[in-house]
Amino acid sequence: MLVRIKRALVAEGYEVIATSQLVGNARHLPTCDLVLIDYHMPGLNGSSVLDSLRSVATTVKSKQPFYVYTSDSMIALKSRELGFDGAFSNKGDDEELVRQVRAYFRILDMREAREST
Amino acid sequence: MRHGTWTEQSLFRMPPPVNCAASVLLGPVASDRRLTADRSAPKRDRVARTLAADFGGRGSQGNRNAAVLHLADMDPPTHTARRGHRTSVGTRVGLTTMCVLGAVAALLAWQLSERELVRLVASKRAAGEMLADVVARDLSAALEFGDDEAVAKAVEHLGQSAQVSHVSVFAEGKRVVTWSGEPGERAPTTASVVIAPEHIEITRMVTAPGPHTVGALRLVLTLRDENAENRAARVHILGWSALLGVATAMALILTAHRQVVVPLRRLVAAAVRIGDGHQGHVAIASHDELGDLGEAFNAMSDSIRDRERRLELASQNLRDLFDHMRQAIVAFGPDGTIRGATSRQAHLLFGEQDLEGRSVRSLLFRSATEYDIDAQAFDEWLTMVFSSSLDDWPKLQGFAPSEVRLPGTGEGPVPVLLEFRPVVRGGKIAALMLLATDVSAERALERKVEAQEVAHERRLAAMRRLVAGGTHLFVQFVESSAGRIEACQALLPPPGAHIATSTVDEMFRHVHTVKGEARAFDLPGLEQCAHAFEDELDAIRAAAREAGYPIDAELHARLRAKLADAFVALDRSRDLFAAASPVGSAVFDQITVRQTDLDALVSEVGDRAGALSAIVRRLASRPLGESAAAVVDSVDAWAESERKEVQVIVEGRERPIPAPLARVLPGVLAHLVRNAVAHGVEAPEEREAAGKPRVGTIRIAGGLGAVAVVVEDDGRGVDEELVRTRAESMQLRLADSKELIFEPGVTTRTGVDGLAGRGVGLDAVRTALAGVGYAVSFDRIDDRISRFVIFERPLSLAQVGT
Repeated sequence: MLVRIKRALVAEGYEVIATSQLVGNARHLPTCDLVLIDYHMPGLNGSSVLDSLRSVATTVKSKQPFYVYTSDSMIALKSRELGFDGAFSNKGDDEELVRQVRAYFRILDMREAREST
Repeated sequence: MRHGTWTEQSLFRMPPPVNCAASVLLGPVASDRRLTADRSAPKRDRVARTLAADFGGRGSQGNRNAAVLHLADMDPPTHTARRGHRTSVGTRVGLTTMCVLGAVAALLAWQLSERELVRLVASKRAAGEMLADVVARDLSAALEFGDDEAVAKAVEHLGQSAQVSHVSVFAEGKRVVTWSGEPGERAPTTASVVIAPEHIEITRMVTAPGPHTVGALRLVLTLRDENAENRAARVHILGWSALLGVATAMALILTAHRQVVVPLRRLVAAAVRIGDGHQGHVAIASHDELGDLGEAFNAMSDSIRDRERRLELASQNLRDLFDHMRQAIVAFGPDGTIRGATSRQAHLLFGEQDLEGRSVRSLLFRSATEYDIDAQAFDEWLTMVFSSSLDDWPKLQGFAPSEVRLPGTGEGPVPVLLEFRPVVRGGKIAALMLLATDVSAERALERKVEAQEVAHERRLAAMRRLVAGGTHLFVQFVESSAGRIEACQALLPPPGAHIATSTVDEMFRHVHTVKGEARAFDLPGLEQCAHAFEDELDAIRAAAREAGYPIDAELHARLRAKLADAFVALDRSRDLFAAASPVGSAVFDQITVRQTDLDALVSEVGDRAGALSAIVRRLASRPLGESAAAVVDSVDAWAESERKEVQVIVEGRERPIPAPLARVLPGVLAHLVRNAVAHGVEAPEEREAAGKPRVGTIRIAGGLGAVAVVVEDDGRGVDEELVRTRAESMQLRLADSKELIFEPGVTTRTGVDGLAGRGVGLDAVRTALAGVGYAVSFDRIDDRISRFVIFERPLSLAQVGT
């Protein structure tokens, strides 16, 4: 799935780092504009992983956004309680993922434009 | 389109005059409503709706109400309301005339009676004076001699006249005799005439010859009769004047009613009819100003009618245009609710009969949850748009969602492309128009094309594998299949003849074999053609009797057409195979031989002169496409690493390359093409700025005669100045700067990467080619093309000698 996701997003012009070893690749986090995390992390404590990732990310960039990528509406609804900034839904539907990523960056652009004016 | 700004006038892409006509019409239509009562309200509402619809953005509910209110505000108090206290024009004219006439008559009567009274008084005065003079003369003697009796008689005689109200005679300052005089009356001292309203007092001095005054006479004549006559005359005149005034007023009222009021009422009735949407002509009977007014009214009525017709037509055209547009079109305001006219496609796309008041967000993001980021982005965008100025629209447009997926009806979600246009009022974005296009058909087509491309790639890959594994099998298949199809053509009897079942069976075998082999080589086109022909043969065989089956002209034509289709499909397969082969169509002219046998043959006869040697050398040669295959496969990766877009075109893939050159050519081509990608071809943006296509082209072509291969690109070429500078820094001295680039260590790059930068590539090319008797030259053609030519090096005298 990671390969497919990466292919779909790269085709849209995004630079994508896809990894199943998030902790090991945490060095990439500060350079990312958006971090999408699959909620299911077998054998790991999700909250502590998220906290540690945040601590890595916030050393450079204070507002590193972490979104959960899920098809479970309950998890999506509780995404903020779980420590995420929001949720990307319809996991597995690449077109939907691309649509949501586009929308996320549109929001960022709009906020930047608003702040600049 | 995306950066376009639509004002209200261009909302429906209608020419401005139509909207102008609509806006102009608002005046007359509203004016007509002044003449109508409440019954015109539906029509007015309809006009307002039409106008609102024509104005697109203003066709929203809120603005529709505003439009109606606007019309209502323009209406004066209604006709019914004024009816209670109104007075007819004719009556007003009559009464006014009567008053004026009465006043004039009264004034005249007064003046005339006054003048008559003055005349009567003057006459009476003259008569009185004459009488007084006569009496004074008569009294002269009586007074001189003191004959009071005679005086009294004369006074009495005067006093008996009805016109004389008072007579007094004085002698020596005392009154001697009086008639109806007041006590204490004083004697006059001079003659005089005093005219009072009710009498004329005439005083005369009585003189005796001498002359000397002997007394005085005071005579008072009454004006009672004159005054009475005057009053009577005045009453008389006033009575007649009043009668004349009334008669005139009545006549005027009647005339005004018939000539003015009735035609005006007809105009009012006609105006009401126009207000109700009917024809509103009036009959014209007079040739006066009212007739002119009637004609003007009729012309106005025709004009209004004509305008309404044109407006309705324009409105209908707009609606038709609107409904036949491919896009679903709705307009919505800052609150995100749809208002005003919506296109038919909008109802179909959103599956709603009534879109008025619906939230556009709920329609576009129907299944969106509260955390749906696309819907959140849309919300933020809406807020941003309606709080920004129109100048920001080009930037805002970039933040708009470009596509959504709507829930489908069985065939999955419907992809919908979105475009937004601002509806501008007063220089501000008052509403947004959404143009939503269902692109499911296009997407399905794209998927189909993609699938076909994938299938084609798959078949091409299969062919490549086939080529890699040995081409002779496929070549054999092509040849045998062509032979089988030709055999079927030969077996097919002419039109009108019978085809024997044995012939059908034989054709069946041929076709079935072609079909089976086509399936084995993954050639569905040929397989389908063979299958279709089999169906025909199957039907013939089922219907055939002992005498066979008659082949009529139609069946004959159909069978021949199917065999022709099979040939076409076979040719396509052949072309596909040639395309998959690096050596192109030369693949069909090749067989596989053992390399050792070929080397032995070349060593035996290759250097000899004569035809046999030439044939052996040609046998040992390799097609150019074979040497270029590796480069063609790699160029995409090289270009990507340089962030460039490059295509390689190989021309003359079948052209034979002599065996010695063929051994080094792949490496040589790799160097030259990598060099072109790294140094020659510019980045896409730079190329576009220079007026070149984004994609750079590298052409590898087989040459003629001594020229073996040409490699050229349409890039920027070699920076000769830089090359010369580098060469000088390396203390190289060469007359021809184009030769410098082949010197080791000379490069125009400052850094080294995987492709180039060390200055060894072209040196390696020259060296490799020299080792097999070839050379390479570089030239710049028309400052457009960088060309490397690989050619056979002429033999030196020493070599000729050996």
